[in-house]
Amino acid sequence: MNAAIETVRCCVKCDECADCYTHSLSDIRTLLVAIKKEISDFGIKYSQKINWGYSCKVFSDESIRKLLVYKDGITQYYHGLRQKSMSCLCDTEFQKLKEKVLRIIDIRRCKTSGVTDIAIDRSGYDGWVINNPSCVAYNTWEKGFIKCIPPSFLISATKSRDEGIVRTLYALVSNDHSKCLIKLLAYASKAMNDGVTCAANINKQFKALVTKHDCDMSISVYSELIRCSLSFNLISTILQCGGKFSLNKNGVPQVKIGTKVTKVSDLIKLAGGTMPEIDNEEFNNIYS
Amino acid sequence: MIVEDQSVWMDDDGFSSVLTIDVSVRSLTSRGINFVYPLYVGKRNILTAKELYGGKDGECIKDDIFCFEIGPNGNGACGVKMSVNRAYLQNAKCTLLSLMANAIDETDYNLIQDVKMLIEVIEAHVELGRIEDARNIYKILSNKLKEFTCECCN
Repeated sequence: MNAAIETVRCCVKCDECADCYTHSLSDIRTLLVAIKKEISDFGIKYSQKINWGYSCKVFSDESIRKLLVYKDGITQYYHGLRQKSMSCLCDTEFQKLKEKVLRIIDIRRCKTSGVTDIAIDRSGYDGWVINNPSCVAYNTWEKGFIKCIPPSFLISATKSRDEGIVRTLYALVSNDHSKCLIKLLAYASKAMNDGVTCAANINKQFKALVTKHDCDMSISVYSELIRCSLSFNLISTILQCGGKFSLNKNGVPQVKIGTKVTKVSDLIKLAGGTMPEIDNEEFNNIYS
Repeated sequence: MIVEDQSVWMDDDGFSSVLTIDVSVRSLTSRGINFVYPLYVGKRNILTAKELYGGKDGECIKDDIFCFEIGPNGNGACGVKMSVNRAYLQNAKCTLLSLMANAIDETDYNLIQDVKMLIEVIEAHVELGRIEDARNIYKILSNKLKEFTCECCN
């Protein structure tokens, strides 16, 4: 109901309209589009009559003329409301005008959702959100992220040894426990030779190696070897064979076997040198 | 031609204000008008024949059907593509005014009513995307107006 009593318009003094709904711009616009739809439908019949000499249904010219007059009045009222300027129509009068329109057009035309003359395509919105995270609320960005990145992209993350990715994933998972993100994290962790979980075990493994082989390797060297994808078992075997690990002057891990010093990366190459592949089936068995 | 942005823009803290949005203007007839221009938001923007198709200053824009479109990657579009179709019928409307001024008898007034109604039908067709129907009605309108000229536009 309209709260305003005795609203002053430019031409008249308006009394309270007890039977009026509050008309929003959107409602009036919908009404206008519904009128235009009726006029357009009439136009099709008119065109058929001109071209063929008859049309399927005879429209009343009188009704269309009335609608055209009402449309002008409603359009003026709409623009007055939009520009917050004075209107010559009181709410009661506008309500009467609206009801006259609804006597001619089917009221369902005003109720149908999406009655508009603007075509809106939102298919690019999520992509835009991903690239403009600072322009939207976090929740919106998050939804866009999940919609835009299907679980199938996991493969690319598994090949990376950059812990930053895992940290980012952890941050995401801590805010969203959606199944796809948790799965992604698990897969990335697995592919990084359990790099995330092994961080907690490094110290324990290192102590075991040093004690078992009585070697003078430092924890930093061991960490670097793990980072270079050498497994605990491989390091243990090399130590067993008398190899000694150290870092060269550039901080690159190397191993001395006998008198020969070899970079760890070269050793990996000699050994056949690629990261082990983890297929989807294995992943699903472990993590699904 | 006046193009006005009637959007309601957010102006609270945290929202950056947009001065212009990129609007693509395309003619839906065979005239080949197709260009993008920066539309000032919340204001009336004037497009002349010069901007539309390189016409002369003060030249009347011919009646046409236009599609106005923003986005999805243009300035201010935020990934959403929006488009509206509008009929530009100022020449027909100008002729209608001329008919009104010179009307004498019942026949003239009936013609005025018919022309007014046809203009409304074309505009409604175009706004609802019934472009082919709009073209058909425009042919009927042109036939009705072919013997009349609009002094202000010729």
